[in-house]
Amino acid sequence: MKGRFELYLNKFVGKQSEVILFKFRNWVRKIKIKQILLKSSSPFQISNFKFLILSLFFLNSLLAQDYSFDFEDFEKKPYEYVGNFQLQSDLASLNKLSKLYSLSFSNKDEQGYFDSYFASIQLKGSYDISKFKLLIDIKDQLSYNTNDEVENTFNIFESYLNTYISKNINFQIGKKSVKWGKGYIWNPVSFIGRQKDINDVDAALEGFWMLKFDYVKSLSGVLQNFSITTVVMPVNRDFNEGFSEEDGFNYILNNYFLIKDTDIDFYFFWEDTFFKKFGFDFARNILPSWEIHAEYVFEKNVIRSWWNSQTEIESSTNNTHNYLFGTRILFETNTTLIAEYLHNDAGFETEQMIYFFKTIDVALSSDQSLLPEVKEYQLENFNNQFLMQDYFYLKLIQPEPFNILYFTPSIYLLYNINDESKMIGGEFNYSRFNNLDLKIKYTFLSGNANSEFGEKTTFNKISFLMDYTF
Amino acid sequence: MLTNKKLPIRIIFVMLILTLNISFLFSQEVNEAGNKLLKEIDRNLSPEAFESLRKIINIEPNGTEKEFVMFTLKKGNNKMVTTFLAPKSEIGRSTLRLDENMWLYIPNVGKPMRITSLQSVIGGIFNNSDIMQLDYSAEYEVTEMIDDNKENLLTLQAKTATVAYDKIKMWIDSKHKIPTKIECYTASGMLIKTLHYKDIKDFGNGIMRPAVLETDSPLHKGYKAIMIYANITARKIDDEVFTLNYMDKIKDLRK
Repeated sequence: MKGRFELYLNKFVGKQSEVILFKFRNWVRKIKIKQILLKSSSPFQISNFKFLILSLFFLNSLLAQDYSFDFEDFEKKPYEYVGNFQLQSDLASLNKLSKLYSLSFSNKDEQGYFDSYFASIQLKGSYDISKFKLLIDIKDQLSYNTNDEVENTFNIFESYLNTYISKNINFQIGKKSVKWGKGYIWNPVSFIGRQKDINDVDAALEGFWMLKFDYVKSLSGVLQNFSITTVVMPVNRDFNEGFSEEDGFNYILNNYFLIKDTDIDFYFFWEDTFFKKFGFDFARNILPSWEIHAEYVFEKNVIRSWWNSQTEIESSTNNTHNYLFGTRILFETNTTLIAEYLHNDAGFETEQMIYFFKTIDVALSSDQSLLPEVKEYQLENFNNQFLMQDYFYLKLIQPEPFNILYFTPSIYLLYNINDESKMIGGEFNYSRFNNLDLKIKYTFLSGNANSEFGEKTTFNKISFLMDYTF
Repeated sequence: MLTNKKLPIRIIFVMLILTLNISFLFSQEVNEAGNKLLKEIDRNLSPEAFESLRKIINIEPNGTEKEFVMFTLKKGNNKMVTTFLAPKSEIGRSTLRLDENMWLYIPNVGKPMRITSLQSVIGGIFNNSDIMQLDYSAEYEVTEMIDDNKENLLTLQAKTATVAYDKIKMWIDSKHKIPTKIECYTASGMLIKTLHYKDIKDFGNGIMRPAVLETDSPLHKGYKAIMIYANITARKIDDEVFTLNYMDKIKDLRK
């Protein structure tokens, strides 16, 4: 907390104030030392001592902490920037008995551990010109792993122009990250967002190039407010490559309503003129500390492929129904519980997963000609966060246990209902220091043979993270 | 015909009804006067619609401090939004309140999520309800008023179960008609925290109110939190500002 004296100094002297204050405090310290030395006093020394005592009272009142603060530091500026420096170290022990390990290390030396180290810098900035605002968010990450592989990745997370045409109308053009949905672990309605990393649900995600238009209106009555968002997303070699199978334009519409304290959204997605998918979500507090939420998506003509019992790939095209429902409860102990059930209709069925793992066995033992195809299939289809159909997620968060301020431990369970395998994790977060976040994360995978988490390459993993904002 | 034996019972019954009626009417009068005073207190604490800049300092028993600065917009008795301006790691983190609905927006998470008034977005003793406090008269009803030479005390009862504190005791500075101390209780009567209003300051345009709010809690012995108002300025604000669409843009609304 700054004293009034420091604030005046800052105001009139500017940056030099720190130097002056340092010299001033040293002088006060010297006076205090003199005060001790003056105990064996002569008449001259006594008057000198009184003067010093009075001076100390005066100086003390000047340096006393008060409750004022300089709000000029927080006035709006045309430009703003925030930087973020992150160091991360992942230490993983590998499951040598798993099928995916055997597939990954089929032509390599065996390894019991795999360590990765990351250093990244992320810069976010904005500049206001009249009614327009230009925003940019870039990230560069350097990674190094056990195999002495070094990689540098540069990403433009966001880069767009924002303008308010009126209090109701907002227009954005450029690369933007848009996240929709009410679910914590999965958002099937997030039609124009990338999928979350289940090991870091709150991480920032790279955006897509788009043209976005929002209309918002506040009302009084049962319908408290509503908004209409329309998005146009081009897909071609230069923009949003890989977002959809074919080049063209995607048109997305989102309608939000706050009706009687309930958030309700509807989502529509067209691929050129073809109606592709529809969804809705809602969230509501049924009690002050008890929230419920759900998401649903219907998608037309989803292509699925899987390995059958004859080690051949089969495929089908079907309409799918994805949904999630969950709850968030805050208990009197300040513990938050998040529980969600999700159904991923396009995911593998239990038998299909077993056939895939059996195909790996065949490819590694009797028919090695299958190996390239199996590896390619795994790379293309095993990147999804939820490979199978039905999952249950549970998380418990306990902020500030035993009165340890800024310390938040949490534990979670992701349970695959189809094959009964599971991922269990824990996290310790400490944010005591200004702009510095420290995290330790641990995940443990468990499951039978031919199950999703039982056959993952990693057996368990511990991560250390340091996040500094400047 | 009334018998002599029945007469005293009837008299007692009539007296009882009369007493109940009089005490009911009197309590109604007290409540009306108390609620009127509570509304006056609300208006003295802040205008109908305003913007403000606040600093919150969490102080630990060993004296270490952590500071947060937030910009706030409030309109009427049911709309409020705040966003963090410091420390840098918290910039853009915003909280919106519409009646009893509360949402939190974290820039990295990128979408608003529902939270409750009992959680704390900053850690420490101040919870969301303290930071996002609406008018007291919107959430509480005066049930008792003591106004004598010794003290001026209002006892408030929450209008609904959704309010963070079930009961509040508010000590009043009768000259300025502003609170000096507030005790917050649970439904079971347990004291959760005490708020001390300090340092009366002229914020201009007739707003004369405490600039400092200190809190301590028997549940967090030795911990303290302080809220300091740098400014409170009356302002015309559009209703649309208090919607989910605006949550990532609140800091741009500073003048």
